[in-house]
Amino acid sequence: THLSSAPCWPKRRLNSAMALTQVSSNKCCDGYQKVFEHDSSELKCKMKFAIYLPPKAESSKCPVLYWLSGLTCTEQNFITKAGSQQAASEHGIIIVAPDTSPRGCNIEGEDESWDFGTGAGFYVNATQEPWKTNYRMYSYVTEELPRLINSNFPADPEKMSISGHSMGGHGALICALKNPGKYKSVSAFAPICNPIQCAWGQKAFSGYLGSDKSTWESYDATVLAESYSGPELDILIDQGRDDQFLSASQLLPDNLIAACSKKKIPVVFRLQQGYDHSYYFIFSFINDHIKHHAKYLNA
Amino acid sequence: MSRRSSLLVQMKSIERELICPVCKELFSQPLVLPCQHSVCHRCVRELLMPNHDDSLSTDAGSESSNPGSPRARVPSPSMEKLDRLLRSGSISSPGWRRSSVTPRVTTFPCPGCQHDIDLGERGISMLFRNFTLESIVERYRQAARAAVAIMCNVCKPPVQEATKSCMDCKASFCNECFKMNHPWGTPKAQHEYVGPTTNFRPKVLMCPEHEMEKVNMYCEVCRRPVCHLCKLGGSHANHRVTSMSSAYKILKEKLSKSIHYLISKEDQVRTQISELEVLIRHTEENGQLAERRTSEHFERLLEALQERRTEMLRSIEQSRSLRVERLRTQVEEYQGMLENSGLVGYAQEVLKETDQSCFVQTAKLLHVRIQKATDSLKTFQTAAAPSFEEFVLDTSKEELLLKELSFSGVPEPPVIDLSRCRVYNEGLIHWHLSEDSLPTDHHIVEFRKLGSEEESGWRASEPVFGCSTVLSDLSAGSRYTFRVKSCRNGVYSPSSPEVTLHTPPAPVFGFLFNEKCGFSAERLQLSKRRDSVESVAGMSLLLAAERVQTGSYICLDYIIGDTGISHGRHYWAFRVQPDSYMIKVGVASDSKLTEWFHNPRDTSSPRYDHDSGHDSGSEDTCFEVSQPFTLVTVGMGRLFIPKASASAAGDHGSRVLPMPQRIGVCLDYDAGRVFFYDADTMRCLYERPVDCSGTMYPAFGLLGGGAVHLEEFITAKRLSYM
Repeated sequence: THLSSAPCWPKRRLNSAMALTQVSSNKCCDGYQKVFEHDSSELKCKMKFAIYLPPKAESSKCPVLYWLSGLTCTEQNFITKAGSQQAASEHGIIIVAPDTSPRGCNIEGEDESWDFGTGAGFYVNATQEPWKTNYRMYSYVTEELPRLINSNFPADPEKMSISGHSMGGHGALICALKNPGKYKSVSAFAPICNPIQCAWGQKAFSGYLGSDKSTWESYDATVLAESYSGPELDILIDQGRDDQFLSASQLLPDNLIAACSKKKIPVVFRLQQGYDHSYYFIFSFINDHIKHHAKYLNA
Repeated sequence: MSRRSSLLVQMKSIERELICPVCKELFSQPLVLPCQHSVCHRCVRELLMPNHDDSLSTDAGSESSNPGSPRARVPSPSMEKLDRLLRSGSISSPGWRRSSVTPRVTTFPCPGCQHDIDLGERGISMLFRNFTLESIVERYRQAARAAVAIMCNVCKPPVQEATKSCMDCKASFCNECFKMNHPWGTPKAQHEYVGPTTNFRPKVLMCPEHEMEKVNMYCEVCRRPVCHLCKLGGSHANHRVTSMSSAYKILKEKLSKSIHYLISKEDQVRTQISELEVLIRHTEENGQLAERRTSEHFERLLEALQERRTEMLRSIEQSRSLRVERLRTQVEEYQGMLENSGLVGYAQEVLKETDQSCFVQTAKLLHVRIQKATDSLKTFQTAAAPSFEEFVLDTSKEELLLKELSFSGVPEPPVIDLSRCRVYNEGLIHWHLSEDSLPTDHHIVEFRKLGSEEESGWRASEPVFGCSTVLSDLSAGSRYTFRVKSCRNGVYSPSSPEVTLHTPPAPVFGFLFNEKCGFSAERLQLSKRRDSVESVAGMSLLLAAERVQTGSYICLDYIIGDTGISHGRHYWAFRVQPDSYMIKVGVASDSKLTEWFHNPRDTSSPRYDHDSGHDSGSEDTCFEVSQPFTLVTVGMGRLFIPKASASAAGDHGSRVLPMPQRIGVCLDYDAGRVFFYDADTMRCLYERPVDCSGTMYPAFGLLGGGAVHLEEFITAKRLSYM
């Protein structure tokens, strides 16, 4: 029933460029912070994303850093609160920050909780009704969005990296682990490292993926790290010590660290004294992360 | 230095890389040949169709080939069909202007490396354009020209200089116009651009065989770009392919590494260059020094010559003046005897003296003198001889010496010419002096046997006055090393580089082809000297060829030597013409031959083929033994080891060897064994037992076109010198 009210988009050919409409544009640090809107074929709705284009983009193609935001966020939080533009401008990196879930799909129950449904896509491809038609954030982030960016902006298609915060940190980690070689580097702020073991993950996965826990494993960074094989990944994780969700066992970074040590995946894990889960924490260390990615993107 | 002129300097130095090996000019629309060398499009056409008579290429020609495809030329579909029909011979159209004299050539040697290139049916359209080279040539041209800057294609006046050329828009822009024409958030934002240029090439190469497919893979076997259809079902199905991006990455890295290596070795290269320059300087200096020294010698010779000349002339002069003096005195004296002059005149005056005592005083002495004069009249003798015979000079010996004046330094060593050396019944060694060396008097050849316990010392030949010699008494089945040195004026050069040759394994057996036994005069043509035989198509076959629709029976024609072997070990060698169809070589037994002629078995039937499953005949134990011939097959440039040898592995790859230039056969009658050799390296390729009964003859069987030339005996030419 709610499906019928969802707009039905005609299936488009894979390589047709989607029409982008610019929503806003502001000069920032000699580059431009823009927001665009488009019709998403994966999510079957209109989606917005933010894109920062550094000054270097005027004269040559630039590498792209994808930023995935956390629960309840939109494309606005990161670009207004994180202060990433300065470092992006200096290093000549394009930063793309999509929304965290499909919007306006009129699915029953999508707005019931702040940690499931709207604003909580969890970067998976849902298999359960009523979510499976629209909630395909994994494909959106790994396939549709990069295709869009590469066709419409001076982006270097070979140079991509990914990062995120909280649920977005989880998204960044799983995208990198599931696509060896696709991302040159990965980093995260207070990521959800082991969703099948924490309340958030269990709620989201059972809703999107069903009760068969074996289907959850392919979206769990810790499980993926245990069986990762591919080019060497260099992971940077910052975690605030005073993060309430850390103490609430929602994040479980130790499990990920253990899996990475076993598989000899290099991880730099920094526990930051006094810092919490907020964007103030992200603001404080975003420069380090962008520098980390620049090492690989500008190589 | 302005940017443009510094670019000019950089570009000038690579000009050599941009010249076509055929026309020797800058490449224009170069194509890549399968051997990776590039040649201008028009030059490839010239190489394929030297007569220019080809009307097929006058239209839709290569001059304006479709820029969207990298292929050299796009024939229209109807023309392609016509092309195919023409070639299959189904259409003979008199109106079609096609050179019937020169058939279309599809094979030609690459001008860069001389490899034969076969383009096959599709010919020139199979080749890719070398866009990279084209761009570089274009950039070079621009740098070389006092180029007018490329202007923006879009600006309204005043038009700005272009800073970018967009490969997708195929237009040049200044910075402002580029930004305006490629706004972010639209597909144009990802257009590719390069520095300003007028040479726009297609962004994506399309496959020449599947026009709608991009070439995004690279075939490692054929070393060319292919598309996925080529891999799936096309001509590259079984070949290893890699994705274009990985081939690009790998090759780019390899190239960068090699360039990096070269650059890092820059110091080494510079050192080598300075070494060479030092050598040049030394050569110049030493040459000049040698010149000066030789000049000095000649100076001294000339001085000595001058001195001798002066002295000898002087002694002639002295003798001349002395004798002339004497004779003149004599003349004066005789002049005096004439009346009224000299002595006589004086005497006449004295006679006028009347005083007797005064007269006596003077006349007495005078009388003595007159007496002397009258005496000398009686005995006239010249005071000196006029001849200068004593002063005759014979310089012929000295002239000869001077003419033969030559440098007495150490001569340069000669070089043995392996291609003209041969060891058969005797050893023939050829050598030559290096190009710029002075003539020498004679040469000495030294040789010694290698291997075995007795490491024998060098044996020397007699002085040789030519450039070759024959060495006898070399032992069979051995390896000998040879070296030559030159001698001039008694000074020997260092030895030439050594050369090792094998002697035949057994004494050489001489024979000619027997023109009688089993010989088919129609199909086998013997040379007059009977030392070579050629297999040709028989006249009867050719005359009856009108009736030949699918095939005709060709038989194996046998011929044997005119001399046989009944004991001992013997060796003979021969050349098989490389393009011979099929020739079987080996030995035959005369006693079995007669039996065989009367009762031949068709051994081509499956009864005798092990693999046919119907090989009841091959079980005949007496079959093998009754075979009169023991032969090995050569053909089409290859030699085939027989299948039935126990040591041969299953696959036929190890049985097929390249045919040696000379083949040797050695028969050991007493041990009942025959050996087949590569006669140049004396490597035994195959050996097997042979039942020697009766007399064994060298035997040959020829099928199809081919020829065998028996190896000539080496004869020492004896010349006598005076």
